[in-house]
Amino acid sequence: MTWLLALYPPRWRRRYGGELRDLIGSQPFSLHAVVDLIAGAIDAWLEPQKIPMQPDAGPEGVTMIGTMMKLGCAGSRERVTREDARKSLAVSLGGTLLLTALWMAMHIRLGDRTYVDAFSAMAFLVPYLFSLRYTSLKGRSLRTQAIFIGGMILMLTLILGTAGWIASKL
Amino acid sequence: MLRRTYSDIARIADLRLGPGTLYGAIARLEARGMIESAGAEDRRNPYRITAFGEKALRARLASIQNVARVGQRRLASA
Repeated sequence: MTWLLALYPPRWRRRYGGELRDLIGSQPFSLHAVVDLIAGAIDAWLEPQKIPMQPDAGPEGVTMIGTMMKLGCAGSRERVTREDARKSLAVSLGGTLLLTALWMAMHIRLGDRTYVDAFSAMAFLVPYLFSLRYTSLKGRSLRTQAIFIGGMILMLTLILGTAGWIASKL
Repeated sequence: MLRRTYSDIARIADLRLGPGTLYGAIARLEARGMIESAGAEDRRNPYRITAFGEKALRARLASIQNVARVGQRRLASA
């Protein structure tokens, strides 16, 4: 999983890359960790942390509590509740059923086309990506979630589109 | 001086903390001057809370305590 460190900004990597590499190296591979590292990299690009806050800045109390409240947002890991697990499953299953029906309708309408066939995997993968909002991406900002899901869908579209194009040439 | 490891944080917070989330939080806390590196120890990278971080944490805990106290009082009288 250490190759995922390449997704982080160079300055961030110089400061924390070694430590994070050690930590990743000590953990077994998991899909949750992969999603978490990609989302963490998106956060690092969106919030570069260039200006450290001065310890004596602002009036005590309001500023400090406000700062701590902000720290609780954007990337803090929140507990996945049973309700979240249910929502995630509903999005995953419901979306798969819906997109499979759409794909079948296209298949019937357009016939046996390699491009349509190549995108069959999207019927499962797209709803799965959206279901991550309730699990691995929970607590991340909407912007980070949108970039993660949108980026993955774009990448899948390119891969499957290329696969369809190759298959059509064979 | 507070020193916590990855497993300590996960246990205390009762969370399944991903590595990206953990280092995102460390970067934010360090950028705001609330924690600082305490120097590498073997394969461990401990951080310690700064005086400002301690003040911020005390303020935050007091705020949480206040919300809990008011909440308990309201529930008792409901």
